[in-house]
Amino acid sequence: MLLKYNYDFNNRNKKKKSRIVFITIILIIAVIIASFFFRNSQVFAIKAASNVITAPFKFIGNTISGGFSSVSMYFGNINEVKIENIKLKDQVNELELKILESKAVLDENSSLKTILDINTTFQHFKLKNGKIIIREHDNFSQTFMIDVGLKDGIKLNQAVIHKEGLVGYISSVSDNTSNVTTILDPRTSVSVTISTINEPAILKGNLELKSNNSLKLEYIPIDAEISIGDMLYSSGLGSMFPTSLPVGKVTKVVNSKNDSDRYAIAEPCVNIRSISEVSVIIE
Amino acid sequence: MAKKIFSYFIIFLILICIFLFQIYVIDSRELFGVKPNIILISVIVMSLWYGLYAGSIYGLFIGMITDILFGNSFGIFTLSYVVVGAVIGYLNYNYRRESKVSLSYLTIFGTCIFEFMQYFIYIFLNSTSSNIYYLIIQIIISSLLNVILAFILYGTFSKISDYAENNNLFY
Repeated sequence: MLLKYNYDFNNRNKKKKSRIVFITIILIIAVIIASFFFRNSQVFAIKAASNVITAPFKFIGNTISGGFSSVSMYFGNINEVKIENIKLKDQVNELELKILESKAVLDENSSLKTILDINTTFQHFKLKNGKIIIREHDNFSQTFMIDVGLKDGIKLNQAVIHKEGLVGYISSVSDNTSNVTTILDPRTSVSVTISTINEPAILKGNLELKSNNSLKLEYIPIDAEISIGDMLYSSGLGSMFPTSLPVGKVTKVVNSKNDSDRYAIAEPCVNIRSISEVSVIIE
Repeated sequence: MAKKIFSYFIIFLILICIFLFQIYVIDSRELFGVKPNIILISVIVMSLWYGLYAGSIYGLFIGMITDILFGNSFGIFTLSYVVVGAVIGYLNYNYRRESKVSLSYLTIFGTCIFEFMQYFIYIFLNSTSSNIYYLIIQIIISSLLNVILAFILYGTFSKISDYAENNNLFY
């Protein structure tokens, strides 16, 4: 009996509590609704209070609607984005083509500049400019072919130069092309003058030194004091190469017990493996 | 018949491509002072796969083109490529042509013959002198480079060989 009474009492309390909770919720909802209605009220206090109450709801609402609008914009604009993407890709292709064209123009420009430099440096010669087509196929010689020949006034044994100095000579010639044997080739010998002491010597190509872009200076006069950094100019002896063309620079002097056997290593003024244009001295 | 002519034409085009690649790309730069030679590798492969006659004729053909292009009246390249083609073609019965190991041995051997011939003809014609040690170093480096290139190009050569075999071109 006692148990039953306790049970009823608890039940009544629960019902009371739930009623209070219900009324509170209704009141809160009513206040919120009322504040939505009165948020534009002329009375400042009511307006401020309603704004304070509705602010969190406004914030939540704005966030949700913002999210929805961005998603709808994303799906709405996707077609436009695709079209824009295609246009941009086209523009990128066009720009890439333009870059390639500009590179070609730059290459041509540098090539013409090199030729101009050669012509300016060696104004006193009549020159014919040529481009290197192919280089030697074997591992022993050091030659190349240029795109000018008999038709352009090229003859055998004419000197071939670059803006920095002597490159070689014409070793064979056909109507439209010529073969140039460079000073690095073991078959080539150039009579040179050592600048600081004005003494003659012979600069020869050498198989062992060829790959290091170096030459061998032989027949150095016994009493000549040669040192590293001395410039070598063509002496004009043998009449194949004109006088005073820069040929190379001494990089190492090798002395031996016998003074007549000493020699020097020289580096050509022109980096022959990297050039692509040369000029032939016609007159 | 038309199919066979077309197949010869395709192979001719591929070999011309190899030739042009060597002349215009590889020959314009040196690696460790030497140039790898894919024309030589193609001669070795032709001799290894198709025997003495095909190898020698191919060597003669490609050597003549090289000599004409470089204006060599003596025919240094013709002689060198024919000899390499003939020697490798003679030896091909002792090697399995599908084996990469055989290809590397014969590439080294072919490069040695080629470089020795080039060197001695060059020295003989131009009366120049050189240290034999230089030649040995040169041969070692160029053999290694050629073997590496032969391994890289093995797939291409195999495809050409399969194509030629399917069309019964060299038999």
